[in-house]
Amino acid sequence: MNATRAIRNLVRDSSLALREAQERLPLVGVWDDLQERDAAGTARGPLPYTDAAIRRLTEIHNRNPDDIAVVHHLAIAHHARAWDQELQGRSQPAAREWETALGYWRQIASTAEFWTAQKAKLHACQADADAAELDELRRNLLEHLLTIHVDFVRHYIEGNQPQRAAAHIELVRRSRVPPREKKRLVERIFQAMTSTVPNACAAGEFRAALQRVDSFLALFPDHLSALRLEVEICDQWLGKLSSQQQWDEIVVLDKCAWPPAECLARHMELTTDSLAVMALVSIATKFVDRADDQQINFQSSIGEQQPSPAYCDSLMEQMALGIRWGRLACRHCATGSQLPNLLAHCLACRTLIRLVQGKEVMEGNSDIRVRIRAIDNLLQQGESDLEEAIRVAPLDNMVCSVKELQNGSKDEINKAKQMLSIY
Amino acid sequence: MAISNPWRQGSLLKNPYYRTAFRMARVPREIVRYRTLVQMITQTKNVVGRDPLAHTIKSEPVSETDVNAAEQILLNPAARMAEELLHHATETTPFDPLRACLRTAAALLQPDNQAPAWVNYRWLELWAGGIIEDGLAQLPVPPVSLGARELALIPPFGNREGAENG
Repeated sequence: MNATRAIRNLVRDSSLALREAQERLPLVGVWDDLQERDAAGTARGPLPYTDAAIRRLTEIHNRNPDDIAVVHHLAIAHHARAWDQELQGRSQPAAREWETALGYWRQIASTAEFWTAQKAKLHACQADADAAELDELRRNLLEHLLTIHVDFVRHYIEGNQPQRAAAHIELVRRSRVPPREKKRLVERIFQAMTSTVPNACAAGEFRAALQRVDSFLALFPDHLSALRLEVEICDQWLGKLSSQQQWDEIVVLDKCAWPPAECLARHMELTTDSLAVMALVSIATKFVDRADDQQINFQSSIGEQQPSPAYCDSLMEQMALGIRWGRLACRHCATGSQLPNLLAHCLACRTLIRLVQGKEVMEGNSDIRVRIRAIDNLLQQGESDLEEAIRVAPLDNMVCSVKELQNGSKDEINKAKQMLSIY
Repeated sequence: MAISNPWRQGSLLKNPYYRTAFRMARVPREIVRYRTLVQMITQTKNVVGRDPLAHTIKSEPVSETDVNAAEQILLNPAARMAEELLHHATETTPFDPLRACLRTAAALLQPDNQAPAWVNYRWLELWAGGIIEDGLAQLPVPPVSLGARELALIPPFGNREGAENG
């Protein structure tokens, strides 16, 4: 090579080398900023971050956002600072730092260049190493990172600090990960947030148990397992309540249990979870059964004396509750379930109450036409209930008896109508 | 076997970025050769074996058990690659390509380089010195990454004796 060409090459190479040196030199400053030093100022090794290093790295990154080595430095530094702030109880700056770090980690997960270099290094460590493991690490990277937040959720829930847990739940909720991974993470948050529920239920602290699930459902209202758990807790609670002595509490519980049970009943994935179906049928059966208890008392008292209007009204409300729950779960119950019969009893009982109310109307003092119209109306409503009762439990004895009574009343009222038309 | 989550190896209440296997074993992230790794880990073991307070991270001593645990990670290539995610890459001085240019320039300055007589190669000396000075001016003091090797210019630009010894 002649000297002129050699100089030309030298100038070109030097120019490139100089540019590279100028680009990389600030990172040497970062490395310096990161050093932990002893009292004499001697470097002992790199710390994960210092504020000065983060400032300098951010400047470098702004100039060249695609430099993946710088992105990795930033991911480590911000993530480590977030972790420190979290442990220091500085929730707000920590939340910002976590978010920032996750952004850098996301960039790393999606940058092939980073992983190609890692694979080359893996093979430099061990020539026959299986690179598939690194592929898997890359695939799981964000899930691994979000697992940290799931663990913080568990930690704060166990420590009764739900507000601090909320920040981590938000991070997972907002994270941009594939739906399947997010579902897995949400499932783990659910496990973390409800880990104390079995103990609370065992201690009879149903309200506290429901609060745990409620706080999760407030964030994930369609979560099937959470809806199921809420219904199961209410079911357990209801199992402790007597229809005779604690009806008022049953009414309160109905208000708690109905919204999740209704969500569960119309959940698109209900049929994929047999335990959820069982929970729904179980609680509905209990509610209808409690209402059915009331109608048994009513039936036994009916021959003794005319039930008071107030009693009839309250019984109507009780039957309405039972019918509502029966209707909700009836189509999901298995063959042989008592739910259809119990529902039919409540429907038949409501017809019976209307017959009693009709009798009372008949004995009133108002105009006969008005009374007949009122009774006719009651009979029509009863007819509709009875039709439904016969549909769900055609062979039930009570339904058949009430049907006979209803038919008798209809005959009487028809006769009365005919009499009226004659006069 | 799947690589386990490198962030969740220890307690949630301990920031995992401080006591990485690299930092505990005092092994730079760039070392890949098995023999060198083992040598460096052994050295660290000897250091902490002789004086339990000789190696600390944020004032907390690194024990032999810690170094053994780090060794388990560093000698398992897959686990080590996961651990790399938590540890900064060493940022070395970016002067090697320049140094190569200097060597080329030094060769051109030799009397038998067949260069035209009118070419004054001494500008290369000034130019090289300028680059290094500019670079150093951008660095904090003291620059830990710059040792004697990095700060010395190769002959004929720098100290001939020092370079020859190096």
